[in-house]
Amino acid sequence: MSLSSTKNLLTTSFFVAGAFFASSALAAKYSYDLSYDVRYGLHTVGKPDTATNRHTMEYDQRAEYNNQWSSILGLRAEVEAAYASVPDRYADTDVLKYESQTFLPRDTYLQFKDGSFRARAGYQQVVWGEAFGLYYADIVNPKDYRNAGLGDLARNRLDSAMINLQWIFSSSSLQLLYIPQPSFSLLPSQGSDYNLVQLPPAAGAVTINVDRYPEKNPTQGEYGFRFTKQIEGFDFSLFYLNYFDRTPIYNITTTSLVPLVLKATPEYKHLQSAGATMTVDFGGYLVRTEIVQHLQREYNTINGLNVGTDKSDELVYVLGLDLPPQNKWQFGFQYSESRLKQGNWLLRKNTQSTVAGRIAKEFKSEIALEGLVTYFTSDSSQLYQASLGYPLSSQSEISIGADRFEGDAGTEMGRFKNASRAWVMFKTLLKK
Amino acid sequence: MKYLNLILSVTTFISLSSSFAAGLSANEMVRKSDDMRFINTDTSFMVEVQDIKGATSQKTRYKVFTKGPKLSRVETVFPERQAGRKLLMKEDDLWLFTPDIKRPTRISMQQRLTGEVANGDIVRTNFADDYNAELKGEEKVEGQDTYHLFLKKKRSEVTYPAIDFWVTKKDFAPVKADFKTDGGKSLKSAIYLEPKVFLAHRIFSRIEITNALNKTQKSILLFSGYKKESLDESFFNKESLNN
Repeated sequence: MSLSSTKNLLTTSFFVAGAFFASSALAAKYSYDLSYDVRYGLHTVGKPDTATNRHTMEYDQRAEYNNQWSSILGLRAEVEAAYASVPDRYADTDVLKYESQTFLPRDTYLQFKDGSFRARAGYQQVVWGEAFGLYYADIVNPKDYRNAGLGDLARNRLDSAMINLQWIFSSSSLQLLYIPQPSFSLLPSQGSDYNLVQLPPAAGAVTINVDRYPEKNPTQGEYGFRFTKQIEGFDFSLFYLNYFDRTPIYNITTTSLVPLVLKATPEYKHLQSAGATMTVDFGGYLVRTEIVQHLQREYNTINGLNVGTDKSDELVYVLGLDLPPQNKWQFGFQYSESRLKQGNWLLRKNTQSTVAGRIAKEFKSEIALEGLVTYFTSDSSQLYQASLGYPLSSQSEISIGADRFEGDAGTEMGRFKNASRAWVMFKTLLKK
Repeated sequence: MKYLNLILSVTTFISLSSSFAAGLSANEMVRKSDDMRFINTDTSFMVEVQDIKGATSQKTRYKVFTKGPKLSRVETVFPERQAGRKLLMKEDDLWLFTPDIKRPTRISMQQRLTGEVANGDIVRTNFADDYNAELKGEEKVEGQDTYHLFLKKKRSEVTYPAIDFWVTKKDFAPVKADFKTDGGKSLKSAIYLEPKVFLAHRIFSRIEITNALNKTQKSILLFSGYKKESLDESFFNKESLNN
């Protein structure tokens, strides 16, 4: 996150917080949550140095003024100490400079409810979709991809300031969104284990500097709608969003020839996406589907050494199946595919597909085991994730886990091989 | 032997007719019993579930909102680290909302909530709509004179395929239930205890559920804090769970 946008967020959050604290004088029912978590991990490929040492504190204050009006104020502060503690890996990198501290607004909105009508204004998450593990139809909020999107989906979803109107009936709903100022995903910085733009060793002394403060960020508003309906055990939804792509294309310019230094300037392009989701329970067999059509999405292309851009419709679809639980074991499978028209796309193939399997079980004393395997069929790269959670008390829990990336260099997952890690996490929550 | 069979048949006939003589079929007995297991109006109440496994036990508390027998919403209150989890049941459809995903996820009825308790144990209490009942006879169970009913599922979506169910002869109050597989294998049993008056209804405030295969695994459900509510149907739409 750029310094200026961090400042903007902090200033906005300060004013919003001030407004809410001032409103604390109003007669209302208040509740507070204060959570803290620490995650420590070691690299499991190459030198076993610190991969993460992240401390996160999050505060939520809820207020109910009457049956119709309520508000929530949420803030997150995060420190990642790993980059400073491993200078031989992260010294003089953007990841050390820009990813060591983060302040983010979390849910911070005012809500009005009257019968079937609900209106929310402020920072919030709007979640569309049915699939697990990856964001397919979940297109509204930008995401925090600085850890490749691994971990809790809600944690990695960045709250956006918007007006969210919903009419919720017994078995249907209509949602209208207006986002006055687009916001964008946080991508891994140069030097990060998860940095997508890693030059092959053959590139030698070529340096790419990513412009962190592009001048051309869009300022136009975004809008969209979603309609949901449940009919005879089937859940349907239809949605449309007119917005700016949450991830940028890069314009490459040369700033120096000897040595060769390139500048990559991110540009966020206008995009329209429409899609549908469906879920149905066939006697314990849950089938989940999502289909999303991105219209004329702009991508970077590569032709020899020239990096350019081109547009293509992109079709993404997902088909998932959850089996009926057997002795508390839960099994789920998912197939997804993304198709672009013919072209020499940078960092991706025309058609990319993944097959994923999930296994989970809750043992006695609430010990929770979860395993996830994702296989990229187009390049045979894989991601293995496993975690085991153990509650320490009614407020705290500890979990251990591992993320393992496998595949040849340059493949979807193989490029992150050195990010493979084993981790331990402690979480606690205070509620009042 | 022939005479013995005849005597038994006549006795059974007389005994079965006595229940019909009271003007109630087996299905009607189940419906009467349902009236003592849940309140058929807009209501909220608390359920505390104590899971006992040998020497260890753990406690979970839920706030439950119901609108008739078909609409229920269960919100986890304790332990705090699970607070914010919400379970919605609408007829035979079930959704789970968890704060770490922040969207309702469709789940199947068979996915258990905690310990010996399935989602359907807490949110679906209406046997009369879910099962066809047949009168098997009269028995003394838990020290009470009861009718033994056999309940067979009407639809595949219900939590248990079959139930052996005992209700008192006096007022059809639930006494015991044995939950079974399609093949007749016992899964677990429930005993209904401590009737109390909530909102002018006599309701059983304690249910003990025991695993049929491992008797040391037990869940105790304690019901309390019944309140009359005025709940809009939109409150039971999955889109309202993120609230």
